[in-house]
Amino acid sequence: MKLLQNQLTKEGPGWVKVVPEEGEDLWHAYNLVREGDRVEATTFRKVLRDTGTGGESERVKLKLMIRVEAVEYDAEGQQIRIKGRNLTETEHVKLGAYHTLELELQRAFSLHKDSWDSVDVERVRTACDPAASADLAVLLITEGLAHLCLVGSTCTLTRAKIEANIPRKRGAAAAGYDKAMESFYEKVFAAVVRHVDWDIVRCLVIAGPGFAKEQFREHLDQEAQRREVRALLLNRSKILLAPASSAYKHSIKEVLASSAVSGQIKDTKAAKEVQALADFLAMLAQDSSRAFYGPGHVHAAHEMGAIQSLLITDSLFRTTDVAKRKKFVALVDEVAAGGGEVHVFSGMHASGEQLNQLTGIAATLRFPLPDLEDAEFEADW
Amino acid sequence: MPPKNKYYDDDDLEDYEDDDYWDEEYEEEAPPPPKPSPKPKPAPKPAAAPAAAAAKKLPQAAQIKQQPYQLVPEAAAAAAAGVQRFGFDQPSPDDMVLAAQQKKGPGPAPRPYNPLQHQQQRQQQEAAQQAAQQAQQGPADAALAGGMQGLSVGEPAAEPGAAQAAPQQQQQQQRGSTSRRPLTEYRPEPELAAECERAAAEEAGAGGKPRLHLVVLGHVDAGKSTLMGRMLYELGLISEKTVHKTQREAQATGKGSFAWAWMLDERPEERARGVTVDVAVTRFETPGRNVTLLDAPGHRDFVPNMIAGAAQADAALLIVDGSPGGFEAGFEPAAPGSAAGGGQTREHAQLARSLGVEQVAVVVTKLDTCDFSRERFDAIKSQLEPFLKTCGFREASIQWLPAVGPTGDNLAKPPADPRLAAWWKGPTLAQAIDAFRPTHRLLERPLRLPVTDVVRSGKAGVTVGGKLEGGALRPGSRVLIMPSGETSTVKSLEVDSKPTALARAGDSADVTLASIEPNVVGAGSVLCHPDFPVPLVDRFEARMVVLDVAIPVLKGQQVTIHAHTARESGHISGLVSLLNAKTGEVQRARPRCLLKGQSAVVEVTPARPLCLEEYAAYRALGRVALRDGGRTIAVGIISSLPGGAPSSSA
Repeated sequence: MKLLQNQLTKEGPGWVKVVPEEGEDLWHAYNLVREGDRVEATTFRKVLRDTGTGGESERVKLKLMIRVEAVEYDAEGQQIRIKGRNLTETEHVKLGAYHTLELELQRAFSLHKDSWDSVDVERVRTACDPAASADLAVLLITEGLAHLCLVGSTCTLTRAKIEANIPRKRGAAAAGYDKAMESFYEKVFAAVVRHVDWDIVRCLVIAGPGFAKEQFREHLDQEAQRREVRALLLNRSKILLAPASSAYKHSIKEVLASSAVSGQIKDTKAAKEVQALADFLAMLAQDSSRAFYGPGHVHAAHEMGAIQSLLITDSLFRTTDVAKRKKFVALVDEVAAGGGEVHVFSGMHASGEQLNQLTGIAATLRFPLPDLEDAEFEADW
Repeated sequence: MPPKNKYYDDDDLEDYEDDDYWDEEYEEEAPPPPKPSPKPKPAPKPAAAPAAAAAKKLPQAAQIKQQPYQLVPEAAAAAAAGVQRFGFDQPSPDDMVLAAQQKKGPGPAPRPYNPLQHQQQRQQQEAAQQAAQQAQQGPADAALAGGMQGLSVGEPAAEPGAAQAAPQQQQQQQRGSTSRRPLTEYRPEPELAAECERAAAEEAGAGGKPRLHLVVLGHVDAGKSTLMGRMLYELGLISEKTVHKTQREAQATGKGSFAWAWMLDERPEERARGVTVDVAVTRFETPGRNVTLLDAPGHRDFVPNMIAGAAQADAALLIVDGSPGGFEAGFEPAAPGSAAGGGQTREHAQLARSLGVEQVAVVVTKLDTCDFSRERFDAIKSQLEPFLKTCGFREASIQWLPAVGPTGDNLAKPPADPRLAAWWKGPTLAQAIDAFRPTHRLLERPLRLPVTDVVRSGKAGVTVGGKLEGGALRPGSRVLIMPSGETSTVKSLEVDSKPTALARAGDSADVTLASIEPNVVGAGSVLCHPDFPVPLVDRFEARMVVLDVAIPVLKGQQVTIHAHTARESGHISGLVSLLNAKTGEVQRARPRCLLKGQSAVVEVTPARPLCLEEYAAYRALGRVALRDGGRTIAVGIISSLPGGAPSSSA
C-alpha cells in the first residue's frame, strides 16, 4: 500500500490517503474500514438527465465521500464494495442518497475515522511497509488433485484447484492411467504458467504426499523446455520440493513448517503464525492449565496478568459492535504493555482459519491457572 | 495504472449503483428472522417414559412415515404374486424430503443446543429401541444394540457376525422409526430377488466358493507385495514364463529381490522405487474361498490409498517383518513431538478395525533372517496380541502364522524348510484364508456401491469400479449417482473381469453406466437405489476414539475425512461431549480439548457434502476416520446426521 498523505492521532480523529497496490492491500483496507467511518474515492454513477423528450442516462465520474454502512470483500475478484450514504454535495447525487464505492487496485481512497486505535494504526504501518510483502507459491499435488495457492504476508489465496479421475492400475485400464496422469499434469502445468508471477513470487514449492510432486517437477522441466517458457526456465532454481501429507489446502501449514521452505520465508507473517499456533497447541498438550482459548477464558487469564503470548484473529476486530472491539483492542494493548507477545492472525491464512474456528482468540500463560480450567463461560461472552 | 473504467460497463452500473438494489437487498436482510420457538426446553423429566421421549424427538414425520410402512405387507403380497404394481402407497422422494424438512423445521432450533440434553434424549431413545429389540429378537440383536451404544474402537465384540445373519426384517423395522429415510421399506424387485436366489443356490451348490475380500496390511517393506506375488505363483496363477521374465527385468535394474513384488506392482514408479503406491486388486482361489485380494501400500504417504482398500475388505492379513529390528520399526509408537506417526503396523491395524475389518491373520515374514527362531515368532506374538485386542479385534478372530515370501514356505503348502517345519504345525497361509468367515451379503438393503475408481470413460459410457455394500444390480437397473444426483441405467456389468448378468452385495463389480458425463462420477461417489438415495450431508456427528496424537484435538482442527471410498477435507466444528471410554456415558459436555485415548462425540463439517449414512442404518457407509499431517487422529462411527441434506434428487 502506498501512503499518500496522513494525519493520524492515536485514540483521536484522523485520516489517511492510500493507494492499494496488490491483493494484500485490499485485505488490509477491508480490515480498516468499518461501519461509521467515512471513505472518499473516485467513482462512477449513472445519472438520469431530463432532456425534455424523456430520461437519458449518463455515466458521470465523481468523487464522493460516504458514511460506511456495509463492507464487502471479494478476495478472488480483488475488490471491496463499500455501501453507505453520500456526504458530498454535488449536482448529481443527493445528500444522504445511497451509493456503493468500489475500491480496487491502483485507485486511491481516503479513510476518515473519528478514533484511530492502536490496532488500526499498526495495520496502516504494516500495510505500507514495502519490505513486509513476500509471496510464496505453493502447489499441493497428489494423483488426481492439485491446489495452487499464493501465500502472502496476510493472505493465502487459492488460485487454481484441479481435480481429475485417475484410474487405478490393474487390467485393461493400465494404459488409461498414463493418459489420465498426462492430461492431469497438463492442466496443472497450465495453471502454474498462468498464475505464478515470477516478479512477485519468491519461490514455488511443490508439495504433496508420495511421488506425484517429483513426477510433476520432471514434467514441468520437460514442458518448459519443449515450449520454451522462459519464465520457468529462468526461475528453475526457485522451485523447491517439500513433503506434505495431503493435497488439501490445510496442508499448507506443513509446507510452511518444513525446513526447506522455512529458510526462505522464516521472517514472514505466515510462517510466524504457523509457529505461534503450533506452540499454543504444544502447550495445551503439555500442560492444559497454561493454555486457554475463548474470550471468556482469555480475559479471565488476562485479569490475573498471566498472558505470555496472545493469539487473536483480525476477524474479531472487524466486529460492528464498538464496545466489543474496544475491549479486544484494550486487551491487545495491555498484553503488549505487560511484556507479552501479541500475534494478530490473518483470517485469510490456513492457521488463521483454524484459530477462527477456535473462537478466534487463544493464549498461552506464564503460570498455570488450574482453577480456570473448570470455569464455564457463556458461549458468546 | 489500468485504464479507467476497465471494469465497468453499463450493466454493472445498473446492478450495483442503483439505490433500490441495495436498499431492497439490505432491507430483506435487516429484520432478524423470526426466532423459531424459544430455546429448546429440553429433557423431559429424567424419569419420563423413554417412549415418550422418543416420540417427542420425532414429531409429525414419524407418523407420516409409519403410515406407508403399515401398507407395505400388501405391496409385498403383490410382489410375491409376481406382479409388480406400484400402488403409490409409498412416499415419493419429494415427500420424503418434505417430511424430513418438517421434521427439522418446527422443532427446536438446532443450535445453540445443549449436548448433554441431546445425549440424554438419544440414550433414552436408544434404550427404548433396545428394549423393544430385546423383547422381539432375543440376545443376538441386543448385543448389537449394546455394542452400538458403548461403541469404542477399543471395545471388542461390537459386531458379532451372527447378528448379521439373524433375520433382519424385524430389526430393520425397529430402526425404521429412527432412521432418516425409510430404508426398511425397500423390497428387492421381484425379478432381481429371484435372480439373487438363483445365484445364491448356485453358490451353495458344488462348484461355488464363498467370496472374500482380503486386504493385505503392514509396515512399509514388511514384504506384503512379495508375499502375495509368491502366493499367486504358488496357486498357479502366474506362469513360469512370466516369473522368468519379471525376474530378468528385476535383476537387470539391480532389484532382484523385488521380483515377486513386481507381480503386483506394475506401475513404473512403483517398480523404480520398490514401493507399492496404490492398492492392487487381484483375484485368486484357495481351496475354500474365492478371494479378491487388495494389496495395500505400506508407506505412510499412501495411507489414504490403503484406507480405500481396507474399507472394502472383510478380512485382513497383517504382514509383520520378523527380521531383527524390522518388527520394532513397524510397531514403534508415535514419538512425542515428531510430525510422523508411529509405525504403520499400528496405524493399519487401528484403521482396519475402525473400517469394519473384524478378522485378521498375522503373518510373520522374513523369519529366515533369524534362523526361523521360534522365540522370535513368540516374542512378536506376545507384543502384538495385546495391542490388537485394544484395537478391538477379538482373540478368536486373530490367527498367527509364519511364512517366507521369496521361498514360498508355508504359503499354499506346509513349510519345506526343515528349520521351520520342525516347530510349525499350524495352518498355511491358504488354510488361514479358508478359515476366515465370509461376510453376509446384505441383499435386503437398497443398493449402495461406493465408487473406488473410474475405470474408463468414453463413448460407450462410463465404467466405474467398486464393491457393492448392499443390494444388487442387473444390466438395465436404474441407479442414482450421488453426490451429483444424476440418474443412469446400468448398461453392462463385470464381476471378476467377466461379463455377468447379476452383481450382488459383496461382489466387486465394474459397472458401465449409460449416457452420463464422465465428470458426474468419481472416487467417493455412491451409486444407490433411486428410491432410496443415500443422504448427502454437510455436517455430521460421530462417536470417535482419539488415537495416539501428539497435540490435543481441538475444535477447528482441520482434517482429512475418510469414509468408505470418499475423502474430503474438512474440520472439527464442535466437541459435543466427552464419553467414558468403557461405558459410553457422557462425562462432560463441550470439553475444551480431547487428549489421546479419549472417546467423544464430535461434530465434523466436510468442505463439500459427503454421502454418508448413520452407522445404525447402514454400517458400511457409517464409519469415518480423521487424519491430519500424515497420521490418523481419530476413528469412529457416525451417530447422527444433523446436517439436513440438500437432496439433489428433490
